[in-house]
Amino acid sequence: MPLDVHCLAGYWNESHLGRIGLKEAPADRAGFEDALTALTGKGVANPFWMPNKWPGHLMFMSLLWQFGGELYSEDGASARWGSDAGVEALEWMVAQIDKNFSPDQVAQDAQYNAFKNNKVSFTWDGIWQINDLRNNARNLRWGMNALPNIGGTAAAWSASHNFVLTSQGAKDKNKVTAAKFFIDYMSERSTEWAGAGMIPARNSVREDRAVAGLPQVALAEDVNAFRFLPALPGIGDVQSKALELAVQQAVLKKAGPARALRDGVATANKLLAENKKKYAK
Amino acid sequence: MRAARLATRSYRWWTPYAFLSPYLLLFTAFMVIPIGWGLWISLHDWDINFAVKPFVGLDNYTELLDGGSVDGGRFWIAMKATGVFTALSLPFLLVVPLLVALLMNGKFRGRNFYRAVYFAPYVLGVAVVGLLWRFLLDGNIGMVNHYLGALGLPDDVQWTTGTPAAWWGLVGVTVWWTLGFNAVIYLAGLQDIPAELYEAAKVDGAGPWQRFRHVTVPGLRPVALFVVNSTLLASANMFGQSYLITTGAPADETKTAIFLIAETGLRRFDMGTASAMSFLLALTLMVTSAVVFRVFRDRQETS
Repeated sequence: MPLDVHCLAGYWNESHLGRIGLKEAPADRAGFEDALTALTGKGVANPFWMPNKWPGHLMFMSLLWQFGGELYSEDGASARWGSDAGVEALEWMVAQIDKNFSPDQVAQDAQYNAFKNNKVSFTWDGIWQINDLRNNARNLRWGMNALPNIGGTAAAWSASHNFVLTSQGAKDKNKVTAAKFFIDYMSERSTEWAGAGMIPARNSVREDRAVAGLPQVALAEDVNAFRFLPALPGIGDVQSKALELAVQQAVLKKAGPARALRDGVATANKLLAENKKKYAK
Repeated sequence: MRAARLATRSYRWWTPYAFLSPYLLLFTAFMVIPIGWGLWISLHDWDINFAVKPFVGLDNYTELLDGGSVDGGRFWIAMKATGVFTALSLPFLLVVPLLVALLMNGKFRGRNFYRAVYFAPYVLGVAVVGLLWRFLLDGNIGMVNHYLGALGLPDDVQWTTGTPAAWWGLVGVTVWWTLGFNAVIYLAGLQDIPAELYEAAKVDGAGPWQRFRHVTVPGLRPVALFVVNSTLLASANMFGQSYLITTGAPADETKTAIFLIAETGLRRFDMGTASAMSFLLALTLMVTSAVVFRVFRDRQETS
């Protein structure tokens, strides 16, 4: 039972955007790229920094989905993120560096710290960062909306905190009833939880006046844009050993996007096969 | 006389063991059992989350020794990273503290203050050091590059995301952080060298360099073995610096063996593979350490 949904969102620097006559981040590719070009002419040397680590892989996945790709085959036997859509997605990311919208080799968290310090116009990060920006970057005027649609289909990496009822626990009827009551109780009170920057999963809570006005809840207008990792056992392993590494290699220009993805997919497929065996036991 | 004989007679075969027992207990509880347990784990497909932990014999080891497998490839990249870091940091960690110790061994005003200053970073935890230098060294927003630029030097060196700069960043931080420890050991060694030897050398007409070469260096030999060996092992066990400063960037090139072992065992919960990695690393370090002992023994014999 999901308690919330949290996704990758686009943040912008209001004063930077003001210089080029924009009130919020453009929602489409042409608008976004034009804005970047315009910003470089208005004193922002590098308006959109491309991270090699977190949330680089989340950006890649979002773009992959936007370009019409998918992560894994439905049976979980093979990785599909090396497809043409994947290459297009990663090439777009690297292009931001080539066009000088991003400096080279952005280190972990540097893009976010630079954003907080008024050096970056756009950054993509989790919606939960709003509290950090509110409390720790008081001089920054910023806004947040859904990721721009670069690839053609609106999509953003999302995840969710879930309550799980195990089959072992389900053998006892009283425990099931108690668990259901607890989950319902928590879910009803996710009004509080929304304060952590999350989007409550329960529809009635999202409509609550106290919650509906929160900036992140506006992103839930297009629920179809929320895309999740498939529920495959051991998928986290495949992500960190293969997909994240491929993104790092491409963004740091250790390898071209196509080659990084090809190598990554080969590793991923080996791991998926190992996982099939491991989790079948 | 009589009392002495009584004491000898009350000697029992277990007396030495009784004296040893406090340490033996600790040694067994914290060394022997964990090592044996680790070896046992390394022979299994041991995932903490699973009730079933099948015995796989030497499979974990063969997988690691096969550079073509996923974990094998990652492991040897990490071993190489460990080797590179050790090779780059060892000379500096041996020489810079020696220079500091020589300096601190002189007589001048405020000597204790300077000794404290050089030792101070060592008392900081790796978390503090790591976080501090991650911000200072950042290639795009860090102060190091900012000031290099202000001095007219290149200001786009990627200290945390590009090799070889990242290696020099890690080595520099480690030297700054830990030089105090070796310096103190050297200093103790220097103070053990009798002043008469220096006087005798002076009388024989030896200059400062000759005194250093023929009195100080041989005089430091007893502590040198300890310093070399402990520094070698500390460098080979480097984890916190790359975990916090480079986070393994670029693309796992600075992910050291301990980093990978911790990640495999404690984040991915694959304890079997992680234990096998630990044993391969330990074996490598034991061999290296043995070579160091050998070199020092040979030198002692030839001198």
